[in-house]
Amino acid sequence: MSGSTAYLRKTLAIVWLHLVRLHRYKLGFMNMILTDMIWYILLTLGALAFSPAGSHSVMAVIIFWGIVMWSIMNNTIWLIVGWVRFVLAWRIFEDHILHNTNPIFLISGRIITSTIVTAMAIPVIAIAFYFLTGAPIIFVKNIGLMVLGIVFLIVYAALYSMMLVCLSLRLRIPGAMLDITNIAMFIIGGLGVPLAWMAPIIRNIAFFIPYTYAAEIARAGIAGIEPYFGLAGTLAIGGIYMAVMLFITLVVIKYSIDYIRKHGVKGVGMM
Amino acid sequence: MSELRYARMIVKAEFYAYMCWLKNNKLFAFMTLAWPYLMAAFILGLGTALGSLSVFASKVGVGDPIFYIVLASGVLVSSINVVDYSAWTLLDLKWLGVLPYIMASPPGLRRVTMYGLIIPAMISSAISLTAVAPVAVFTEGSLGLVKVVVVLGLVYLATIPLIGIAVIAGSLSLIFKEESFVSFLSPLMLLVSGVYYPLAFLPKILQVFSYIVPVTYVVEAAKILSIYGMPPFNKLFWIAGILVAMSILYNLIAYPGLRSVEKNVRKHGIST
Repeated sequence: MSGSTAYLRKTLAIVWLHLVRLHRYKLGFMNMILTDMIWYILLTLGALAFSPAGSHSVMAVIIFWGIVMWSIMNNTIWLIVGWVRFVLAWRIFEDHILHNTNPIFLISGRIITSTIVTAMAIPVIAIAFYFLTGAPIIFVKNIGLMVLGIVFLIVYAALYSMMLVCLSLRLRIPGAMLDITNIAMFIIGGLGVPLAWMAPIIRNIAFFIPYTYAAEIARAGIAGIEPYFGLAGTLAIGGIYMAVMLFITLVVIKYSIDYIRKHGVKGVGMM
Repeated sequence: MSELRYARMIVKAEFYAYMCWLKNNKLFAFMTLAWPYLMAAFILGLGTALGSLSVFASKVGVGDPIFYIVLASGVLVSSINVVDYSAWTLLDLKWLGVLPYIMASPPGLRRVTMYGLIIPAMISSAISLTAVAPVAVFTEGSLGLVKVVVVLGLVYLATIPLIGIAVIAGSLSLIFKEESFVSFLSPLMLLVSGVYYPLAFLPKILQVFSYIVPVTYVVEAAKILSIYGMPPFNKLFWIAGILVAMSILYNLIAYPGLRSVEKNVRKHGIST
């Protein structure tokens, strides 16, 4: 079998596996969607309690989509990284290496689960929230840009997750620590607030966080807010970040798998 | 063996097990301390970036918004811990393969879950609310500490009905061929309790639903405590009374409910 055919078959097998799991755990799948929706509403209402009554409609759009983007990032990371424990517990990590399939590739397939959950939760909750608050959440300015921003966000989160997966196999990095990073991302990662609205000191940090550029692109599509570096500039910087992250991730995966082949799985799946 | 003796033995064993678990998971214990601050920081960061604390105070009807948000975050984390731990325990026992042994043991599944869950719930709530005590003392002086103790007492009262609800929800995982489908329970309770916003923000149907959720009353008590200098005990006694009534009512439903699940599992086996 040629190399490309083998890769295609492996990819199809991994996609099939994750889709079958979704079908098998229907209630769990619905539960994930429902849980997401509830957190979106809870946090959005919490943020709305701070904003003056007159600014509800504008604020609601920014807050709602900010929380949605944060949640997409958070879900992607947790669903991918959290699965390490399952893969190790079921002892299928080494099995995949023996069958010449990269287990990190298998784990990254969780992106399918997180993307489907997101894709199902967002429209429902956006419509529900529109009827709840009357805020023009569902009327996005440019759906293409919004989707592009969200795709950037998912890719960044997935690449970051794969790096963490590799680390977790060599170190005992507790998953709980991720929460600190993820929560901080809402503000310093530019997910909740546009770059232009940030205090200069926070903005200087946000420049170095890839999520910032994904969020700026998505916000341009959602509310027509001009990105801080202009659309073309933001796309270019976002693209560079993605290429750099992809390169680092591939290197980290290669080193981790080489290490594991030599020394075995050292991690205990504490992610 | 008398019921009291069973209760004492299970509580003692669970206390020992939970303390050992905490000892082996020190970082988890630390995170339990940090969680209320993380939630408070998240909502304060989000809110103040887009609005102001004074608007929050007038809309939610609280006195000191920072004191309230930190205290409410302590309540939020406690509730999540209680509900999630209770709902997931049965699933954990199923995964570990010890469920049949517990069912065959003299106290049985009902006693082990109902009595046993009280200890982790109490310890985790105490950790979460102790964590917010420094902020309470900083913002309100020694009276702040009294208020934290009062809220902890109310959280303990709310824990009993919460365990009842969570155990019933968690026990469904023994019947259905699914694993984790009740994690929506804790955010749902927090949504309707109005922890970070006034209940008027919610649709009427959710406002009505909020009356049967124990966390709503603890949140209400936290709001009251943030307004008054000296805790208004007459109002708090009413809240305590409602929580006691809920404890009795919900566990009257939960205990037979768990018995029927146990019967079902004995007859048909555990679904995996």
